[in-house]
Amino acid sequence: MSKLFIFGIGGTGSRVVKSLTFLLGAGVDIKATEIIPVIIDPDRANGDMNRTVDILKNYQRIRIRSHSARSGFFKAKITTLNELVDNNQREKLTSPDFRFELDGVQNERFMDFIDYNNLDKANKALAGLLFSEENLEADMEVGFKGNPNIGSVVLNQLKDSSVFRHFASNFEENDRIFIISSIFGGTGAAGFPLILKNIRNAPEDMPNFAFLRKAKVGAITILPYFGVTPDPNSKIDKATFISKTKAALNYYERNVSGNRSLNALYYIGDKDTKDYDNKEGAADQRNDAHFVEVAAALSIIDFMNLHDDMLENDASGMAKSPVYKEFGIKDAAPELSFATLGPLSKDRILKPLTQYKLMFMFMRDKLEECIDKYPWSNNGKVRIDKNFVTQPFYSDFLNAYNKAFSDWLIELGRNKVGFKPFRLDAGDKNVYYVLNEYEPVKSFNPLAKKNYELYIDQLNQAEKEIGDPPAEQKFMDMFYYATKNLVQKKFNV
Amino acid sequence: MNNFFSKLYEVLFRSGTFSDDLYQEGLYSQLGFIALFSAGLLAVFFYYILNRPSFSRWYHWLVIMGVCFVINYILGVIIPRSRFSSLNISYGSEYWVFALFNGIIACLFFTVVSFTIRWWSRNCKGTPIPN
Repeated sequence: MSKLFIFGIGGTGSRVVKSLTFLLGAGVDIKATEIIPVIIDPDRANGDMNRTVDILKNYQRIRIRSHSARSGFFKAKITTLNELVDNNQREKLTSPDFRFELDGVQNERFMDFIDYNNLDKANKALAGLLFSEENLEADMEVGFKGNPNIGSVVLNQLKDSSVFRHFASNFEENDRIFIISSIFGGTGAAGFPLILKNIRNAPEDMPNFAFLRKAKVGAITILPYFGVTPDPNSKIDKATFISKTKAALNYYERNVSGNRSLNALYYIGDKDTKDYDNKEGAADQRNDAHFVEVAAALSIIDFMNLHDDMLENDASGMAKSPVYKEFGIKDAAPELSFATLGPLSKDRILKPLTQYKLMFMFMRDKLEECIDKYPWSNNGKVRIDKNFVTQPFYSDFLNAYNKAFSDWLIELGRNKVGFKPFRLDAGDKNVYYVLNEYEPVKSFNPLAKKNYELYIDQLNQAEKEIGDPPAEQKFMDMFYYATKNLVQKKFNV
Repeated sequence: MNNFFSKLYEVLFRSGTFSDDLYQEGLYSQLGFIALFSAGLLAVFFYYILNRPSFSRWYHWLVIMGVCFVINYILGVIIPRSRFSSLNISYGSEYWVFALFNGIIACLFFTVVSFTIRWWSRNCKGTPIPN
């Protein structure tokens, strides 16, 4: 197994990374020793990006404290580029967390960025051909507002950045790269070909340039899957999404897929779209999570499952036989659930997500009243007592992560197309009616333990098996063990 | 065993000829074994057969102990009375007082057995008091 560097570009890139984080938190398997997400978005205040970064940070905090060899939840290691480099290099790195900080976009118009006023007459004329007045006057504080022609100029600084050099210096021969971008906006459409070009044409003074040129690179390009409400004051107009997509696909045909720069390219989109409020960026851009983002996150897991033989490059670093994939569902329905997914997707996410959902439900409904009452809480040297639930691990990190997980599920359910794998009304009296379109296995034994009593029984069994590792490990391992047995017993998976 | 159980019972209760007759008829060992067996059976039932999170609090354990007491109290009256009746020996309040201590001894057995076997119970290992 190898490291996986993920470049998530723009708002969509952030949201896909968010979905991937929730899948990994639930214990979905990914064949990577370490995952290093780098989120590229000029809009520092972007709501989607900041939400994703918070979730990633909490994931790390939870994993650092609770990881063990038998961990099921949060087992994949997520690292920032900053954590990957040694201390000497770290001081020079301009982006301390998952974000790639772009220089020269804060409070700056595009014309200032290209130093338009100091260009000679001929270059001004050329710039006038490539960029409209509106483009030149555009304030880049909130991103490129759907203008890939601006994005392609600004994002070109990536190759000269400390982030890119550190990425290169930590890139090893068998590591893989995955690029997430939307094709119908500004940042993603511009950033994707640029990053790819900089990887395939890594200059010889770049560390590990030979590895980069021959790297196994996958990408997902996300076609329109949402709209925005018409707003005459906004630069973003959904009517342009399709034409932009066509133009970008035409460009990719020659410069991305056509020249075999990529080893694997995934496509996804949805014609059944919902219009979001028209927000150009900043904190207001907090789009609801969408199933397309979950499916896009699954493409990353799929890419890591592809055998090395399928991702071989020729001597010039181009893919020998690129893989192209699209995502499909078993049944087209206005509301999706696990039952409408294809067998492979279902197989990958049903069990882990159900396990995590069950843990979330117990923590929400039952944990407080169970503390100190049952062996899983009050047995052994290490106890899950009242003190444990006041510690930051539980009260801050796990609670915040779970709140975001719950919001994510609610948002997925209310979007169009909706993804409702779980019944939100499952609770005390019907814990195992948690899955939409799946009936739990019924027991005809009148003395059989039911609902949360069966759950506590399984937690108590887990406590017996797990012993006394540190409290955070014990807590997470017990819930993983118990929910694994419950899912097996109740849903035969 | 009659000697062993008679010493145990007579630490708590001794009533002249009534106690002598119990000893002579070997009723101490008979009732002692019944107390031990019923206490063991009820403890196994509580810790391993019932073994439910919803019935694992200290007061649930007390309910089972109460059942143990009642069974042994009743047997503590019935068995000596029927034996002595067949021998044309009659006693009055001694039966009720002895049965009370028979029940208490059964409860002691139940406590000892509980604390011995509870460690391996999945749901009641912390009953009646957490480890």
